[in-house]
Amino acid sequence: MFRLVFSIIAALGATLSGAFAQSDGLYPSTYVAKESPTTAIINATILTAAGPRIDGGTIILSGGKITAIGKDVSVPQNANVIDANGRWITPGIIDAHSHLGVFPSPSLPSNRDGNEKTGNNTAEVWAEHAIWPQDPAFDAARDGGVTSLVVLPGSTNLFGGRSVTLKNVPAVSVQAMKFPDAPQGLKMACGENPVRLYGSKARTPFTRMGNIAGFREHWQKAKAYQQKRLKHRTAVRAGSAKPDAFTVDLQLETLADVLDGKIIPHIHCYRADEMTQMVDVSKEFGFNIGAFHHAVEAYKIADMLAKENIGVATWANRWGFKFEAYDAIDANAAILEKAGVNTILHSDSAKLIQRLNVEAALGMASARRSGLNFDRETAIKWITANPAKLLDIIDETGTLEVGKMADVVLWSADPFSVYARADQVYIDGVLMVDRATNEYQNHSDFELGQPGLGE
Amino acid sequence: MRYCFSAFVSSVCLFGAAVAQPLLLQNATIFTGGPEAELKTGSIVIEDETITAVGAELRVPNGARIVDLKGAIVTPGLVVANTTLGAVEVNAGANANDGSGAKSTLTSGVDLQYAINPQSSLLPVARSGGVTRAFVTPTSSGRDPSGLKFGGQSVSINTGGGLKVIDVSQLGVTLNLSDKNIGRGALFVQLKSAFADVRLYAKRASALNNGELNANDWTQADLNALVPIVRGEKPLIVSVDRASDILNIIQLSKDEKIQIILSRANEGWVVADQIAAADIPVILDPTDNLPQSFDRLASSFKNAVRLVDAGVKIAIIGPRAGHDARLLRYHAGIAVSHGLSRQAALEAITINPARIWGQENYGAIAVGQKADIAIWSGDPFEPLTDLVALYVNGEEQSLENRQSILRDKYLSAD
Repeated sequence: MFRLVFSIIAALGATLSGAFAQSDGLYPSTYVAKESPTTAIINATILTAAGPRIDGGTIILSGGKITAIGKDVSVPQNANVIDANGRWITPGIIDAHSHLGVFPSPSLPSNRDGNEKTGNNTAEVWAEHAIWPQDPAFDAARDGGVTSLVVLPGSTNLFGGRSVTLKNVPAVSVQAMKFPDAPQGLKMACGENPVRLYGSKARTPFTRMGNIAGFREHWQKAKAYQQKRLKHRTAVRAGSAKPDAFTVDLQLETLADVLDGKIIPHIHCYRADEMTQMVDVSKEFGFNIGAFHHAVEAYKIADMLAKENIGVATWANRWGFKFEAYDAIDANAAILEKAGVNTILHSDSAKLIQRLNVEAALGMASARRSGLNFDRETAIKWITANPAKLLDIIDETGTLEVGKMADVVLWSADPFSVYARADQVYIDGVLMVDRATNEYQNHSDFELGQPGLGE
Repeated sequence: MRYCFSAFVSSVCLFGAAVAQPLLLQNATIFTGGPEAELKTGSIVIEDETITAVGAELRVPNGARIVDLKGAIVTPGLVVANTTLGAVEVNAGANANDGSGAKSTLTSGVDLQYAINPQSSLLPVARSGGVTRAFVTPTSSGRDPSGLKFGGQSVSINTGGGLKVIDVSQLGVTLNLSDKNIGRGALFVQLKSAFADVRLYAKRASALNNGELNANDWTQADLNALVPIVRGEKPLIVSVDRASDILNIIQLSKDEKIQIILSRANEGWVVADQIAAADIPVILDPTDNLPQSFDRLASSFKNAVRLVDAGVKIAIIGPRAGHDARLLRYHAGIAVSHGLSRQAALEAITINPARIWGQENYGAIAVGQKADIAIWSGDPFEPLTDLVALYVNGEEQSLENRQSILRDKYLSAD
């Protein structure tokens, strides 16, 4: 959806000689997948996240893409053949909410770079400008089957800044990790966090009233800016204005790009009533919320969220760490799935990101206990296809279908078992993790020459 | 109060206090968690809160109620070795966190028995994860810039409901040395100096008021709490990660002749043999695998299995927040996925935490043990396994909790 809008505007903007949105063409992805041999994994139990489970299936990875998948697939002669012996295959896991690289390990006073806590609107900052690619948690997440992830700014501000989608590949620069052409997101936060920091300093927002007032104030400005920007662009196109006769406001650029449908709004919000308020805010100013994140009370408004086409990225069972998380229930994901919401299990944690498959299993178990019998085919989507949909990368990855990126995990056992380990992880067809040999294991520079190397 | 359950029998109702009627749980697949570790198929007899028989063919006590478990898997009730369960309802911003006395003038004197709320909504949630006992320890800030600060005295509780959930109070004192930045050169010297003060005070209480103690900020309550520590009667629970710190603590325990329980010990495996030789137990979270500070560069998923292989007695925990007590069983499973045996993992969440804390009367399915019993639909470490029934002190517990009530309310609304 976002990509479509983007292409139309980009086509219009192509004639505008650089006066178009700030981010276009700037800070580009430099990621290029390495060459990889054609690989055939045969005799596998495959969860495609796009259809029924395939028993005794084969998947062919070639040129970085999935070129065939199914029961009756012929193996190319040049293929490197791996017999799964009944082991399971899923799409690479996608985490829709992490702070890897911006709140890295080690967590030190000198590298807590995830939240620009200087004002309630810091929409001008980009998470990608602070990501430390040497965070060892990227490697740990890859060991857990994570092939793509979102890194967001923190939640202290009403507007925290832009998030970025990464491919979980080892790199020295974040540009070499950026998911090519994936849209950015805008992190917003309602509830306790903004109030806690700014209210305690007697600055707005002091209350939840102040939260909504703050959102409205800034969206109002953004709306005016968006119109001014459009007018300018039209004038440039008509030749009646020079491209640089417009003062760019980096903060408003982000918000205006949301209004233009180019940036996906991600809203950290716990309580049902506050989510409902944020939906009204989005309607007042005309933007489409991508997802509520954490959203532990989303089960109370599941039908509304489904109707509004708003996704939910939540945990399997975190709760109670603050009052707005007190009504969290472990059946949240189950009830959302039942209502038809785009349901996502996220980590928001350098530990949980390493076992999102277990989170999906916990969500599935809670569903069963609630009398909602979602099968593995559905539950696997919570950590693969559904986040890909939210992030507008579903045409490239998130499911195992011909033509998609060969982002694939071979599990040692049923991935819904606590004992399952990622035996092999492929990103764009390149083998990145192989437990049998450790040959492909990346080690963060930080760990080299240290006692924790390889742990 | 009236409880009715129907997990295996058509209907069972208990009124008020425990009913004295003997109970026979038969046709169970039993993981005893005890010394005779192996799987048994058999029955368990419970009389007056206690297990009185375990075996293949047992006599049926007169008047016993018989429950056929139809081959279900039975384990001891799970025991959380280190948690805030019962002391913290909501961590932040709700005036509902009694997990610490950090804002008081007390340190070791903090006594967490007074923090326990038997009506906490967290207890039923913990039960839903098979938890029957927990050791609740005071939180002390790891980033406290003032340096050496004891957290306080711990308390053990059961999840059996009612208003009497405290088992034993004043169970040893916590000390958090994790991620300290005050200078180890001062820290360990201060610690020895503190023990010298306590020994002097233990010999002559007037030393406090006469100004004879090295530190000038002692309270009587702090000193009293540390007397059994320096006498080796109760353990000091030391939260620490770096291998060198662990070695220093081991040396301290020898020099001062004090009992130590190590907590966290992310780099424990590096000095596993030394920990084993000193016979010091370790409470750890097997998911601590990241180098989250310069004190934990060697953090490893294999910490649990390597410590056990070296002969160390370990207890496994998940996140320390009481809210997450129900996740205990999955953390045992994660340790297994990184090489720990299932038997060792089960011991690490049942009998070991009990014994590490000096509690002998629960933690295993064996004659003479309190009848804390969890009945599962399958492998208890697996997410897709359900808890079917839970007994604490021989009484079957409700598995309902605030979350299941909220769920049912909103599910029935459509």
